[in-house]
Amino acid sequence: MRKNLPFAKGVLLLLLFFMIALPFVPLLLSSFSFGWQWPHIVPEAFSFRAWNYVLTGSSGTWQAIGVSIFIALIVTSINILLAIPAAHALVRFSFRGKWLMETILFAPIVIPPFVAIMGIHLTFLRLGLTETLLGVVLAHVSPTLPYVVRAVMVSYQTLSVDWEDQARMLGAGPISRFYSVVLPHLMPGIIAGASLSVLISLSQYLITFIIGSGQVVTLPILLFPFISGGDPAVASAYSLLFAVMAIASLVGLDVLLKTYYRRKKTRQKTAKGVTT
Amino acid sequence: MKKRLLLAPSLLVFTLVACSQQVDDTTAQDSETLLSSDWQQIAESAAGSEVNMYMWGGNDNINRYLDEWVAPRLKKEHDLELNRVPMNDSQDIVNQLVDEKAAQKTSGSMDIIWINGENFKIAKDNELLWGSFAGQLPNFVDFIDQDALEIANDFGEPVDGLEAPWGKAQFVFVYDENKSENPPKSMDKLAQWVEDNPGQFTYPALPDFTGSAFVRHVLYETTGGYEQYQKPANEIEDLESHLKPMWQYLNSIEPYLWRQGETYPESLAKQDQLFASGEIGMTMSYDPALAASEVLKGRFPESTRTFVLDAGTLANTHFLSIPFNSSAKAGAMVAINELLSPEAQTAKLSPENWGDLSALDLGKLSTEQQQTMNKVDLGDATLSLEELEAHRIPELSSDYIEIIEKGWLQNVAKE
Amino acid sequence: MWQKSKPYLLLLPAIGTIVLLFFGGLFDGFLKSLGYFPSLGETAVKLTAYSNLLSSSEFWESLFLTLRVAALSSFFAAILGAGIAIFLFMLNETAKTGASVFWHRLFQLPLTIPHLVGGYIIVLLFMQGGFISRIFKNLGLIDTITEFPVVVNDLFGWGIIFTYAWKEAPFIALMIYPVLSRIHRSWRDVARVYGASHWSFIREIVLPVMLPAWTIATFIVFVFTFSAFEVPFLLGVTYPSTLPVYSYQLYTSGTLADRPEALAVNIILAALTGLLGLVVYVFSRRWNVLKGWD
Repeated sequence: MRKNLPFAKGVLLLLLFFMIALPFVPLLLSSFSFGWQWPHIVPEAFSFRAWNYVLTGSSGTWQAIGVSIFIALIVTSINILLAIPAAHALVRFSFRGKWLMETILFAPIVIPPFVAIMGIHLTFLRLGLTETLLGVVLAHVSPTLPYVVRAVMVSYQTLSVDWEDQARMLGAGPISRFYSVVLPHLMPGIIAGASLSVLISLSQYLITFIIGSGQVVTLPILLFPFISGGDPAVASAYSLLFAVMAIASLVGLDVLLKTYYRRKKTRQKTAKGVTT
Repeated sequence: MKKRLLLAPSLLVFTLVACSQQVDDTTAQDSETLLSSDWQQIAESAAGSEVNMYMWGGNDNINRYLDEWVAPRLKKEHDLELNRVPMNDSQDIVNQLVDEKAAQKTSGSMDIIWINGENFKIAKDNELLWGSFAGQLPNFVDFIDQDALEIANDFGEPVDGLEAPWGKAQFVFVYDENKSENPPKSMDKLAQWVEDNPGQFTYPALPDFTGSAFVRHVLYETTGGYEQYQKPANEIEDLESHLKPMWQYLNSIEPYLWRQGETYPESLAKQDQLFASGEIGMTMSYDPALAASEVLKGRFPESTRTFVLDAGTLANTHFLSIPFNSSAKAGAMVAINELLSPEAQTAKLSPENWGDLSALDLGKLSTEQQQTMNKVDLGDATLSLEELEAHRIPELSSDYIEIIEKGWLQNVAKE
Repeated sequence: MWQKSKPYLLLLPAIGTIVLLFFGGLFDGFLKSLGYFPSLGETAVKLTAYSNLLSSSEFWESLFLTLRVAALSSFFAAILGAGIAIFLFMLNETAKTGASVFWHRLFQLPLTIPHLVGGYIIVLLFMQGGFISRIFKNLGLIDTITEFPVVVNDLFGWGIIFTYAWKEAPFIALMIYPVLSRIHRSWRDVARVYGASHWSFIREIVLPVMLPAWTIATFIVFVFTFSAFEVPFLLGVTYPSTLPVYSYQLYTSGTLADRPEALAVNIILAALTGLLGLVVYVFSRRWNVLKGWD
């Protein structure tokens, strides 16, 4: 079998080239291009015009990135607060109507959220929720919440009831039990769910546009007119920036998780040192 | 511990609510008084307000012109905060107003909107626009030829002062000087040119906006001028036989078109690609300065030039308007007036800012103003302002457009 | 009593939010699709929007296009995704863990790219004057720009299909891989002892093991592409358009008269995706696949 390794590696490298490397080449070239006539593979001349527009001055890019991340973080915080008790109930209890609860909770994964948003749009408008951050945050909750619940449930499934019981016998109240036993164990699930929630929230265009109505400017709102028939160089620069923002926020959460584990490990080590 | 736990969500809700509170600092302006009060008063009541301008946001030059040229001037000279709101399509603007009207939202966020043509008609028909404000603007009164067809009408729809002209577009043909020295300036000559240069000419398949405009030129020249089409289509008896010479013309050139006319480019963008790669010798544009800017970007060859027909080419105007529920109507009026000033229009004309034709009547400007405007370097590929202005003919009533587009599919594309 | 109602109380905030914001929106949309707009004084309930839709060729063409695009997207994503998973699995058998984690991460990259960006990447690659066409010209495969086939903003929907095949293949790989990694190394050794070739090992063991997860993952991709808006909007044509784009076009047509029809398209879309989702759910329960996902 070992002799197949070069073959597998070769195929993977090829796939890697066509799926990961090649797609970004024209995006990068186009963002720096100054005139790019067919059939030149590399633009005849380069300029920083597009990047200059996107990154500096009046284009409002930085503000839009701030708004995007702010919304994503608020949405994710709400999701976490809602998801922990829900996941607890779904994993720890068996009760009547559980399947119905699950169906309701996970419906937004399959039924497209814009359907609900178009339906509720005029009601939001009458309530004064359109054109507001609150309205957009509310609109982003239903497409993201099911993923967070799902991720937290996975962590709950591996949390043994015994640990909590032990903590109870040691005299820990419900809140300190939650903080010292349950929450640390759920952390990986919470962070995985948060990553998905942030990613989904960041990339929403349609529902942000319908509810935000132009007044809530996230990065996708700025980018959309450019990629649907606007200036290609600026569109490419924005696209790269958008991709980098999404990946950076995921890497950020990943780093958070890693530092958390490291701290936990050292804490456990010191704890062990005390008992022995 | 418990306290903190409760504090976090309530803090969250509080921030959100605080964020959602709309800035509602508009003093209740009586719309009616505003429409009849004198300019001095309007300008005074506008000071300090924030004006939201909703417009298509896909061109960095246009965005920059507003953010970096217009906005600072409005701030400095009129104490107005101009906030450009990027939209993907001006139809979205009208649609949003339809919703706000239905929900009876009386203090909206849109103060200035950029529209024309069909969107204007929808907005007008649904009473989404505020009122006849254009006549109040000093720059409109001083510098604009209010009786010109393309100012008084927007694609055949009377403007009635509901919107003020911001700029103009005019149809031009784009060709390569090295390939054809004498461009064909009438439809007869064009037919000859097409026959002499087989495969070098085509036009975007309808309903492409520019392709449709090309066909309207054919209509004007083969059926005896534009004047007859200024009234609604149903007032012309026997329209079908009236249009026949146009279909005949289009079918007669078809065998000599690119790919023998078996297929037409799907969009102007595709046709421009063909021209850029040298596969065809002529393209067209509704923006007279576009060819020059494509040369600047290195996409079109240096020898690219433009021309207009001797009998004139279609021109239309794009407008600025104020929605019915704008919260800063006085501010919007001041801002629009400023956008119509000779200085702002001259800056807008310059290709490095935007390259959009001025909405002003050159003849109404002072000699000095005329000179600065004429001095703007539009690039070798762009015709002079005088030449463009001398060859302008109005659009027809918008109900023809649908008839022509359907007819083209049946009479030209399918045959 | 407390013990009995506890799970419901714990679920209340999350369920309440979804019911209010999501099902409330669906219901609101459903009422409006029946022409019920109390704020406009329209309170009569009519089925005209639905009957208009079902008798219009635009709707059926749109539904057909949507089905075709979703089916082909998920098909190509399934093939590509399975390929990635199997090769990663083969690599994992022998390579060091650190390296295989690295490979894994790399292949998840398209998943993290926002859909709008993914769509634009496909535009730049595949339009007639795009990057691939330039490469073809330089390789002497084509002479003129028009020889390159129109696959972006085309009537068939290839551009949309390419985008999803590319973006969702890593998702399918991600769903299959954990199942594959359960194949014990000893099975392999046994297979080798009995002289099974490489491909027969894949055919006899790997494929059957991954089949349930593979099917479910493909189904999920199908449901997702069926109801997506951004990519078909960017890469499609005005007519015919996929159902979500069709609904958007009706919704933003500038007249409230088209609203009931737009919302009726939405309700039909919701019913179809809901049904598909239920099928996925039932099968995944039966096959216990989603556990593998965890």
